[in-house]
Formats: sequence, C-alpha cells, structure tokens
Amino acid sequence: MPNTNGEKWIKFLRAYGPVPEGNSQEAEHIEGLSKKLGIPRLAFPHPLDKRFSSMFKTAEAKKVAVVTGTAGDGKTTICFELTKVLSGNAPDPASTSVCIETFMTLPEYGGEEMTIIYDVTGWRQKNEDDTLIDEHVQILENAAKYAAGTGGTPFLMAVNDGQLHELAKSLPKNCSSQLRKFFDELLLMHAAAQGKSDELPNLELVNLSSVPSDHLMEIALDGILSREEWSCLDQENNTPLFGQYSSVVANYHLLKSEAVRERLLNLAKLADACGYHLPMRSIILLLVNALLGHPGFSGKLVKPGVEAERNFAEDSRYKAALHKNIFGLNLTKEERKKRVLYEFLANLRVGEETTNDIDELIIFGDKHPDFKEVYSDLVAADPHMQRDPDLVRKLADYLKGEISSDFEVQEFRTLLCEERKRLFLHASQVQFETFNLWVTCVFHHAGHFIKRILLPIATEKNVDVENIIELVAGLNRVWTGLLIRDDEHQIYIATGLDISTAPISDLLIQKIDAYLGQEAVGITRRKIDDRPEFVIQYNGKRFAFELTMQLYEFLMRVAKGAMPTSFSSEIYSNLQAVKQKALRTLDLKPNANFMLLLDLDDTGRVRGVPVSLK
Amino acid sequence: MTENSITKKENRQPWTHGMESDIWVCEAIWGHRLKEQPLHALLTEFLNMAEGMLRQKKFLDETYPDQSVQYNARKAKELRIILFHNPTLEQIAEKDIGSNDEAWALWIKNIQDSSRSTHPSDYTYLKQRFPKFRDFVNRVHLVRRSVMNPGNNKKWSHQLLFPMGPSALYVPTDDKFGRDRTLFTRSGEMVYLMLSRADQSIRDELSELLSHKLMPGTQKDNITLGLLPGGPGQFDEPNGGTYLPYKSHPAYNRLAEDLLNLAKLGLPENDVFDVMKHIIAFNLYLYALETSNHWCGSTSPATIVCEIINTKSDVVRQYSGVCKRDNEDKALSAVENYCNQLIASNTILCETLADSQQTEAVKVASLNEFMTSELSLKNPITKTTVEEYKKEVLRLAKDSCRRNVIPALASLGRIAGLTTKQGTNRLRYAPSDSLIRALVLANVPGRTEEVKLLEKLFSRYSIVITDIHASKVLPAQYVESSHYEKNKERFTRRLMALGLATRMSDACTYVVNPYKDAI
Repeated sequence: MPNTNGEKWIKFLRAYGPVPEGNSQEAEHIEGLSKKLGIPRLAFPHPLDKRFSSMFKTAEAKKVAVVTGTAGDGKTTICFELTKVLSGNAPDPASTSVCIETFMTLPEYGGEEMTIIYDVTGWRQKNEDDTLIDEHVQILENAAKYAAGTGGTPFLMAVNDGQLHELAKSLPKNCSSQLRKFFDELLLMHAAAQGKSDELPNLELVNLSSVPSDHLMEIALDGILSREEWSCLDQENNTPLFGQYSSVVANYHLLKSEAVRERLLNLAKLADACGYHLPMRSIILLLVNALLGHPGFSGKLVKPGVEAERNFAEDSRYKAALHKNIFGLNLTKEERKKRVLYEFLANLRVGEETTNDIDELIIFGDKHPDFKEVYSDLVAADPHMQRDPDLVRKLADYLKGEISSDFEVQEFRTLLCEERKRLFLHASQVQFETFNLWVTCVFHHAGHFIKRILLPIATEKNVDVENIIELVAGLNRVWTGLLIRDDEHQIYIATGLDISTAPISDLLIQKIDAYLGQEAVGITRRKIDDRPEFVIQYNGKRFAFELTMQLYEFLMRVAKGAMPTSFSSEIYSNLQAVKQKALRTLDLKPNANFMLLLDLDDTGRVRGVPVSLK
Repeated sequence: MTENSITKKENRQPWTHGMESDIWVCEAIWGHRLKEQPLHALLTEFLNMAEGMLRQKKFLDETYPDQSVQYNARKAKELRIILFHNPTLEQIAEKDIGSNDEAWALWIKNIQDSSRSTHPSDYTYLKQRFPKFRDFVNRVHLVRRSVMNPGNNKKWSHQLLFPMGPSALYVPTDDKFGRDRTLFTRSGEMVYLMLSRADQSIRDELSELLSHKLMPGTQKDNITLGLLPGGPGQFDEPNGGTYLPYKSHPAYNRLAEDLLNLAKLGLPENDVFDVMKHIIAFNLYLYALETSNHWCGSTSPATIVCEIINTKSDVVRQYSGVCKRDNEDKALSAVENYCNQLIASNTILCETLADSQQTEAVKVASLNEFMTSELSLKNPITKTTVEEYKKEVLRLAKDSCRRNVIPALASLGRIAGLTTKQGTNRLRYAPSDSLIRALVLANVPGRTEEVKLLEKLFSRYSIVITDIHASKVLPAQYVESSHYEKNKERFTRRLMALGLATRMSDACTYVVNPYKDAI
C-alpha cells in the first residue's frame, strides 16, 4: 500500500499505462483506484465541447446525436458528462450498468424526456434471428421519429463505428421505414464524414476521431503535466522514487521541455497525415509510459516500494530514457505490436535511417575540431543522463576497429539508432531545423510537409507556389516516367502507348500550368476532414486527391531523382490510379489526328516531337 | 444429379463440327479447349474474337453449344514483319546512307528480299505515308513499346501488341504465317462464348461499353493503323470452331457481371483491359473448378481458401495448398464420372453389357462402337473384356486430362494471380496484389464495409479469408480462429497499402473503389 502522496500518484498513473493486468484505463478500475487513493481521475476539456453545447445545452436545440469514434476516443465519458449537465444528476449506476438511461432534462434544456445510450455493447440481448429485441427497437424508433421531426424524444447514443454497422444489420424486418431511413442516413453520413444530415433535420453525427491528434496531444500533455500531484517531485525528493537517480523525475522534466513537446505535437500531426488517428486513450498511454516506463520494474512501469529502492539506488536513468519510452522500447515487441500507436511510431523508423552528417557528429564529434562546438551543444548536452554509457565505449571500439562480429555490429547499430532517437527528441527547434533531423526517420520531408503544407492550410493561407511546383516535378516524374528538368511548373499529363499508366508515358495529352495559380493547380483544405488535397483544374473541371504524408514524401523524393518504383511500389501504383482518375475526371482525351511525343535532351529539357496520324 | 446441375442433358449439346482430340472427354466436360495459355494471349484471343464478332455486327449475340461460331481475324502480316522481323531497320537508320529516298529504297529492297518466302508484299505504301524515313523508324520504335510480355516470347511471330485498338489485334501464327494454335489455344474464345451465354441484359450493357473500346479511329489505334496496308484482305484468318458445352452455367453471369462492373469504371482509353485480364483468368479458373464439382455431384462452387501472404507457415497456408490440390485434382474424378454416366445414359448398351447370354466379345464390340463414336476415339482400343476396355478408356481420358486440363488449371490459377509458391516450394492460393485490386474494382460499388466485401467474395467466388467463412466450409482441424483472424488482418493491411481501404477503427474498415466517387 503506497504511503506518500507521491507514491499514490505513481500508483494511480500506472493504471493509465500499458499495465500487464489488461485493465489499463478501464473505467471501473480507474474509478475504484481514484476513490481508494483519493486522487481525481485525469480529466480534459474536450475540443468538441462547444459542439455538444450547441447541440444539447439550450432549450431550443434538441438533437438526435450519434457519437462515434475509435475505441478510446472517450465516447462514454462524454455521455456521462452530458447526463450530469442535462439532468443535473450524476448518471444512475443502475442505468449505467445496463448502458442506457432515460431522464428528464432540466427546464433550461427543454425539460423533456431524453434517452442516452452509453455504450451499445450493452445491447447483447437479441432475438433468435439475431435481430434487436422489441424494447431496443422501440428506443431507436423514438429516436428516428425525433430525427425526422415527427415526434419521439431527444436521444444520444455512443457507438463505435463497427457497431453502427452491426446495429443497422440487426434491425428486424418489421421495423418502420423511418427507422431504416434513419440508419441508412447515418451510415451515409459516417462514410462521407458528414456531421449534419441533409435529410433528417434533427440528426447529427459526431465522429470523435475527426479531432486532430495534435489537438488531443496538446490537451493531454497539459492535462497530465499540470496536475498538482507532481508537487511530490519537490516534496519527496529525498526518496529513491523521486531522488536524483529517478527516471520519473528526468522524464517529467524532459516531457515539459519545449523541444519534446514540439516533437510530440509534430508526431501527432504526422499520425493524422499518415491516416493513423491517435485516440485520447492511446495518447495518455503514450505519455504515462514515457514518464513511468522502466524495463527494470515488473510490468515495465515504475512502481513505488522496494522495486523503486532497488532500481533507483544508482543512476540508471539511461535505461528508462524518454527517447526509449516514447517509442515503447521498455516494452516487449509483442506488447508493442498490440498497440496501433507503437506500430505507427515503429513505422516512422525514427533514428533508424543512416545519415552521414549526424553519424559523423556522433562518432567523430568530440575529436574533430570543426565539430566540437556543435557536438557539445547537440550531442554532449545531456543533463538528465539519457545517453547510454555503453555507446561511448562502443564508439571507442569502433574507431579502433575492434567491432567485428555480427553480434557486436548489431549491438553498435542499435546504440547508434537509440542515440539518433535521443537527438531527434531532445534537439531544440533551431538545432532540429539546422540539422534537419527528420532525415533520421523515414519521412525526410516531414518538416517541410508540416511547415509548408499543413500549417498554411490550417490557417487558411495559400500554399506557396514553389512548394506546389516541387510536387508537380514529382508528379511529372511518376506520371511520365521522365525526369523533366525545365518547365517544372507544368503538369505533363501524358499516356503510354499501351496503358495510360505505362512506366514511360510520353504521348502528351495536356499541359497544365501551375503558375496559373489556384485556378489550375493548388493545395487546399478538404472540407470534410480538413486534410490537405492536391487540386488540378482544367476546362471547368476539378480533380483532387488527398495529399498524405506518404504521397508527399514520395513525390518530393522522386522529384529529386529517386527512382519511383524503388522507394515504394505501392505508392507508385496508387499514384498511377490517381492519374487514371484525373484523366477520367478532367475528361482529357488525346487528339485522334495528331500526337506530341515528349522527348528529353541531354540536359533534361523537354521537347515535343509532333507526329501526324492522318 | 441435383436439380440445378449443369450436367443435365437439356443443358448440354454435343459438338458436331469435328472433334480434334484423340479422346473427346475433357472437351465434352470443360469445352474445346481448356489449355495452358499466357495471360496476355488469353486476353488478346478473347478480344480478337470480340472484335471479329463486332465487325459482323453480332457482338455478344447469344450463342449455343452446338453452334460453330465463326469470325475473321487479322494476320497483319506486314505489320508484324515491320515490327518483329525487320533486322535491317536500325542498321539503315543508324548509317548515314545518303538521301531519304536512298534509305527508303534500301529498306524496301531488304524487307522484300527477306520476307519473300513468307509473305511477298509491296511495302511502298509506307514511303507514301512517311516521307521521312526517320519518322517511319520512330513510329516502329513507338509501336514496339506496346508489345505485351516483352522478352518472354522467343518467336517473332508470337509477339502480340497491347489491344490499344482494333488495328493492334491479330492472331499469332508460325513463322510462315501458317495456322498455329500454341499461343491462341481457344481458351480466349471460350471466354467470349461464356459471355455470349450470359443474361441478355448484362450482355446488352457490356456490349455497349466494350464496343467503344474495339472501334477504330482513336489516337492510339491510328498509331498502329499507319503501319498497316489499306484495302481488302486484311482479315484473312477465318477462326472459330470452339466448343463450350453448356447452355447455362453459373460462371457465365459471374464473368459477365465482373467485366461489366470493370467496364463501368470508365478507366481512360483501354486501361480496363489491363485489369480485365486477371478477372478473365480468375473466372475461367472458377468455371473449370465448378464444372468439375458438378460432374462430381456437387453444385456448390469450389472453396478457395486464400492465404494473404504471410512470412511464416500456419493453418491457413497449409489448407490453402491442400484446397488447391483437391480442387484441381477433382478434374480426374469428373472425367471418371463423365465416362460412367455416358455409358449409363445408353440403355441399349447397358442392357447388352448386362445380358449374360451375350459373349464378352459382343459386349466389347458394342461398347467399342459406342465409345468410338461418342468419344471420337482416334486410335482403336484392343481389349478383350468389358472391364479392361472401360479401364483403358478411363486411362486415356485421365491421361488427356493430366496433359491438358490439370496444367491448364495450374496455369490459369497462376496467371490470374491466385496461386503462388512465394515462401514455399508448393503452389497455394495466395492472391497477388493485382488480383486483389481487380476483385475490389469489380465488386465494390464506391465504398463498402470490409466485412461486406469479404462476405461477397465468399458468396460469389467461395473465397475464404476469415474464420467466419472458414468455419462454414472447412473441416474443424483446419479452422484455427487466431490464424484466420491474422489472415484477415493481413488482408486489411494489403488493402490499405494498395490505397483501397480506410480504417476507421479496429472494428470498422471501409474498402474503397478509387474510381467510384459515389458512396
């Protein structure tokens, strides 16, 4: 049993981490622990609070809402909060145990009956033919009526997106056509990422996964690091748990630093740009593991008591260094594999890309006079002792040529990877940009993408035409197979003789000039989900495709000369499909009587060779 | 025989236009004929017939099993000599031999000399079309780029062009432009016949959409057309005589619907053929397996347990191999059942064979007379007892099946992208990215839930990827839920990597047809 406030706090936080008991962040477990330890749960203001207020928190606004999202996005928590506000009472435990509650809203919110379904998982009871029982159908019928504005009662339902489809399938044959329409509309809205229904006046769909991951990361960082319980770091600094050798203290201070915060926010932005949404539960898990992760403890998380005394008896902070914990390296491979979050981070391969400049600095930095100053600022600066002391020894062995066996080589490489990870995470923003530390991960151009694409479109500014032209060069390379060195502002839409996506496509159909500005070629914010899209317009027709991080990286690399198929054959074929769609959507067709064959001279200048087909 | 079996007599018509094989059993079961064929040849053979029928204004008109459907195809002798049997073109182009006229004169002399024995022709029409010899050389180089399967065909007369228009369609021949059925084995013509027996509404729509792809006058068609001589005599190869035994078959509509869905995507130019080729081979494979099943007394389609390429062996991999062998080997049982049913269908013969008054010699003679006529036996069978005679017929029929049908099945599975040896030394069902993509394009109308796609793949093609479907059709020892769950997870990841899926959460993934905007 923990004795001090600090010990209680650590024990409490552990429940949010990747604990092996399998009840990580389970509501009941945390609620129980919260009561037992007297520590309030972690709570965060939700970015969609305003939307919920406008939907429910006035007498006029009476909506039927369905809240959906990935597991861990906080659907049930939001429903609990709304029940408290709208009814003036805490959710009734008898109702929450069956996952549904009906109550009267306060007069200021309409003073009428309302039903909230906290979690559809609770609707396990089904008819023999696997359809919903009458009682549940009746609840949904009421909601459907209200959504259509023809009666019924206000309604809120939390359902994950898979369950939404299941529920639609479980409707009995004899349910009303209104209820069927209600679900058809919901599924359409879900697939189209549409928030409000065009058909049913009172229906809204809130997809919590649409909240940008970096917003959630920001909220979680602030929410966790600003907790007053952290005062234990000062008050109990004479204990091993929070003493000079404690990894918790080091990681807390590092996590509070501007550099690490900036890096985490960027990683969250990248997650969205790569199609990985990070739900709040995963972000909390990431941060708690970053703070408490330690391979020397049972469950791989710091634990108060004898284990802390033993592990923190001497300085072993490097074992639980932040740059290792962030990527889940304190956990086993199997434990990491279970979580999409760590899978995403592993796919980024941070620190695993070899880079001459950084590696030179790490290996020769303290010896070479030209590097010494930079080395001292970027590499040697390590106030929280995060660097693995073994690396120094291995570097010396490497320079003496004493690393020869496969095992030693592998060990040395692993240490180098970890060191690159450390620099990636700890470098100040200036250092990060000076050395372009994105090159240590798979997305060398992630910095550009964030700064030149995501930032302008988030602030409704135009993306600079130079950035568009760089992408045009990449597109030309993929779509024509030619490394065109001039006229880079022109998109060459050309086909092959056999198929339009032939590796060498040099039968020109149309040139579209990027300098014609937003009218012709541009990067804009997609309305449905605020993601960036690359737009080509021609002759009154518009074609757009989502500009993901993967596509951006691919296009930037091929624009600089990388072979399109050597970097990623999958992205290459995806871009070829985009080309087919562009040809179709823009209705670009070759002239039957005349042909212009693209040819490059020795300097990469393009010239069109006319061919008459008459 | 079950009610809806394709083997019912009223659903079949015998072939009366000459039986080319030594023993007409495999042909009577699967058609004349199912034989190994490269993917590009399967596609172009089908398109040659389609284009020929289009010219006759009979494109996708209904056909019947006993009808010998005829069409004319190009041999395109001049075009093929110019493209593939023209060794001096580059030499003349590279050498500075003086004026343009001199270059033309030298090349025309060379080509006429070298092709005199195979196809004496006048090539001066080219000089009129390409006043500059260099332009002609460039055009030849350009058209050569559309050769399908480059590097894999050793014979110049077997080189085929991508079907960018009707002028790129012709039949392969031997080196002297004689008839050659080694590349166009008739399987492509069987595909056409399958389509011609699909429901009329599907045929009408498909005909409308495919006709545009086979019409002359497009830019790419004109590129090749410029090398062809004009005038009559272009369509100099009468073709036909392909047999497809069944009036109706579940595979006909399935193939036609798949092709129709692909045609409706509106892919630019003739890109759709590049996707269709996988679907055609896949459906032909399914047709053959399903036909075997029907002859073995089952009307359910063959189960196709697919491993989504894994790095290590598991239950899914094991059963995908077992299932492939079982499915293909069923052809031998089909042959046996066919022979038995054939004898049983002749009551007079059965009475003779059962008549104890008759000598064995008389019985064998009766059997021989019947079998020689029905199976078009080319070589006499000299056996003294009925049992020996039957065994010998069966041996010959199974040999023919082992030589032709089973390799054809293995080949169809491989070229469709359905089977692979990747990571092992035995073939198994493990669909390639190209096939997965083609199946999504043919079966996803815009956007659909992944579970719905999996359900459709199961109900339509009997493709098993998940444990839900595995448990419905497989023996219990081959249903290891966790392995199938991982298999499904790999499927999801493949779809995502191919840009064909969006994962909303662990519980929901949408499969997206990238060419369909509608939801």
